[in-house]
Amino acid sequence: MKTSTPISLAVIMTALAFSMTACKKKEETTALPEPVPAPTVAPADVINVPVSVKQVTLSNKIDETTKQAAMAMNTFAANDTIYAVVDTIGSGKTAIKTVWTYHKGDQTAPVSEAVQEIDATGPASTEFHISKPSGWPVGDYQVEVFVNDAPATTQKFTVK
Amino acid sequence: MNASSNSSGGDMPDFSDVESGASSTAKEAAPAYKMYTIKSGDSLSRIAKHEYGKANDWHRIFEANRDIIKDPDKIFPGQEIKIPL
Repeated sequence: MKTSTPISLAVIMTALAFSMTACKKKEETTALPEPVPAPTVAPADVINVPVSVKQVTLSNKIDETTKQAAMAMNTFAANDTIYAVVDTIGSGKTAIKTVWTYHKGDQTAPVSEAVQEIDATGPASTEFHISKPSGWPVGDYQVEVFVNDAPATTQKFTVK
Repeated sequence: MNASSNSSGGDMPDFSDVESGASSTAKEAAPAYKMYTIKSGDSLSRIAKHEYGKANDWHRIFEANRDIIKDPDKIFPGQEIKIPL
């Protein structure tokens, strides 16, 4: 009996040490949660909102960087370059088209048309311009704006 | 939508020398272009001469329309093609 006590004590101590190690390992495992990926939600204004026309501004001069009209106008001189700045909101690949026409009484003559395909990620400005080296005939004109071939808006202007 | 649908000749002005262009603050998915309907007697070099002043620029038009023009010598009246601006 006397000799068995130290052995029993050693066995108990060893068992206690093992169980403490096991508990510690368990704690370490639960202390390191799986990394959670950051949410990838885009800003509200770019989530699948199709491009639409906010406004169209006519001018004879624009800022080449911002594409903004220097001054809104609807009467032009014969030698002007005429700009139509189409401000849009929304996102996605979109075809913006302008159709320019001349009007005299009930007659209409085609002047020009152009398509610009954009891949918008938010508000954008797209400029279309026309010029005529021999000078614009005096009269009434209009520019129609289409988005993906759907009519969006029409602006009338005059050359004097 | 077709600007020429209501047109009439007569005393209406000639707009054949009108120059046009476009650009955007958004990423441009493709260069700006205008549509053109091929007429009898047209060739790509003739269209290029009219649009760009140089018949040799016909390849610009050809490249922009590879999906519908397989052979630059074979275009047909009524075909609608893109003219890069």
